[in-house]
Amino acid sequence: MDHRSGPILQLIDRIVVLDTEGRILAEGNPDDVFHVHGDRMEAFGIWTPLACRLVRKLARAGISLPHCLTIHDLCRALDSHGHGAKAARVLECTFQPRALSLATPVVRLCRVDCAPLFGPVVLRDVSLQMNRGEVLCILGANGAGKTTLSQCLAGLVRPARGMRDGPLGAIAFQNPEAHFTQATVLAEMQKAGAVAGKDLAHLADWGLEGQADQHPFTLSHGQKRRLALAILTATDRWPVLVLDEPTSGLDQRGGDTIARHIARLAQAGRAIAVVTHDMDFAFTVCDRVVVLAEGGVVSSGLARTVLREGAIMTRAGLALPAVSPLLDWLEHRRC
Amino acid sequence: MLGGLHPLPKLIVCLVWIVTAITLFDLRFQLFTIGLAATLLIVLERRSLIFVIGLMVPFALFGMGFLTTSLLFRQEADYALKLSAEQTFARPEVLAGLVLFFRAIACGMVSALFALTTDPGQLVRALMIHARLPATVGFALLQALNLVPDLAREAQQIRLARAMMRGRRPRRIPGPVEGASLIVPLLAFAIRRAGRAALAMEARGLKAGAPRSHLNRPQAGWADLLFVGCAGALLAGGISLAGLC
Repeated sequence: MDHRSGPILQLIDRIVVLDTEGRILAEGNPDDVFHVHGDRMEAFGIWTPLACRLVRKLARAGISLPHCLTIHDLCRALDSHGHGAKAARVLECTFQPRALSLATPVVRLCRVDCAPLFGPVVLRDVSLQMNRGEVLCILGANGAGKTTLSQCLAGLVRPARGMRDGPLGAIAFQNPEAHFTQATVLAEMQKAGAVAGKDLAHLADWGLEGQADQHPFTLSHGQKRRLALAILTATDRWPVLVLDEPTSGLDQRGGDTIARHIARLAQAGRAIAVVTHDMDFAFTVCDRVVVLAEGGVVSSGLARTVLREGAIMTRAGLALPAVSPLLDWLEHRRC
Repeated sequence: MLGGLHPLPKLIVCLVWIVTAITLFDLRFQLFTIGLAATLLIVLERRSLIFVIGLMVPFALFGMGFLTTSLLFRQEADYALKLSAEQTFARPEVLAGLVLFFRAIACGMVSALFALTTDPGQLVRALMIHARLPATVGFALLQALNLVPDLAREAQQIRLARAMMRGRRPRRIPGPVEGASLIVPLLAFAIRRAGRAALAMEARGLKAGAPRSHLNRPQAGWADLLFVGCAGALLAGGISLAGLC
């Protein structure tokens, strides 16, 4: 049972898709399910493979391709169906990186050693900065020190060595319930400092206006995540936001919503760090990437570049984003 | 290195050693036991000398009680005095106290050696497979082993979230007020976590007597045989050392 099948898709014989009411929406082998019911699943906010989504997107742009389950299939189909140039234009627009203004540093870590509150040093000699309006992705295998680094970046844990320069930031924790102390969603907003009258509007921004009188613990997982972020963005108190695994346990729609909000917050000038294992999410939302492994930073740079470095990703115990072969295909066409 | 051994032979060796240390009222055997446990921790487990000395402190404080009792209340420590009178190189009341003092440290160090070199999950699994520990008890223990770090993580997250809202870093050790304010949210977390664990155990058909397979079964091998052989020889050597005088 999962929101997305991702890398194990090739091993799956049969899929059962449930709608929001718990009724069976589709059932059968993955090929048929995603081909026949893909549009309906998308309408319900259910995950479909990236290749299927792109085939549908290309179809909407007037490029008809056979059904594809993987990105490799899509690349082959693009080569053999003679729509290469037009498809490349559509896809280039889809994967266009966000234009960044001049980098203004908000937080700087200078040769710091990071250790959790009651633990030994897990990261050594880390130097990095977070810039205004930029989304920084922190990647690494389990236990690489992502959460520890995020606590150091936010300034909630003092570095064991080195210097942190910048204002105190906020962390949206993996378990959003850690943020909740009030009896209603609205009270949480008021406690966070939202101005009376604007609190409901802020909740509406996060799609929570209908839950204002509900107890925070009775919300769905996605709603809890959004409420935690709504609390942290209710005021301009925190120019630095660290989101720890923001998409874990969320369906496609939930993930898309979080991605949209991250882009909006970055545009508003916040410095955002996203800790994630979801390489495709990182590719979609992040401008810059830091890869952690072997007790330190093994690579950092533009997301488009670092996320496609196979050797670095293998060294860090990570997979390449699913979209990688398609980016290679686009590059090949440009040449 | 000792962490790679099967937990059950190691448990049996440690229990036999503790029983011997309790029944053999001899200072040399207690010192030999402490020295051996400390050497194993330093040489094989790469623990620092300071760590090993620090480990002895709580057991030494416990043993200090025996020492003061035997020195100040000789009537109550009559049996110990009688036994120590058979050993000639110190005043009986002092020697009895010293034996009791070092016995507490020796038993503590053997327990610590076992605890520091044994994966608790593997021990529970081994007890279920080889010692007929009921699966319901075994899986409940495994859940408890996971619950403790989960609770610690949750407590830390709540503390960081609250400190963030206050606009300052959390104190390293929570004060009494902060500690008390964590009780209700942690209790709520533990209840929800226990509910999920109960559902998971129910879903796995966890009833007594049903045939059950295990992943990551602890396997006994030549290293365990060698360990038991060496431990037996050392124990015999320690006993004969005690019997020399």
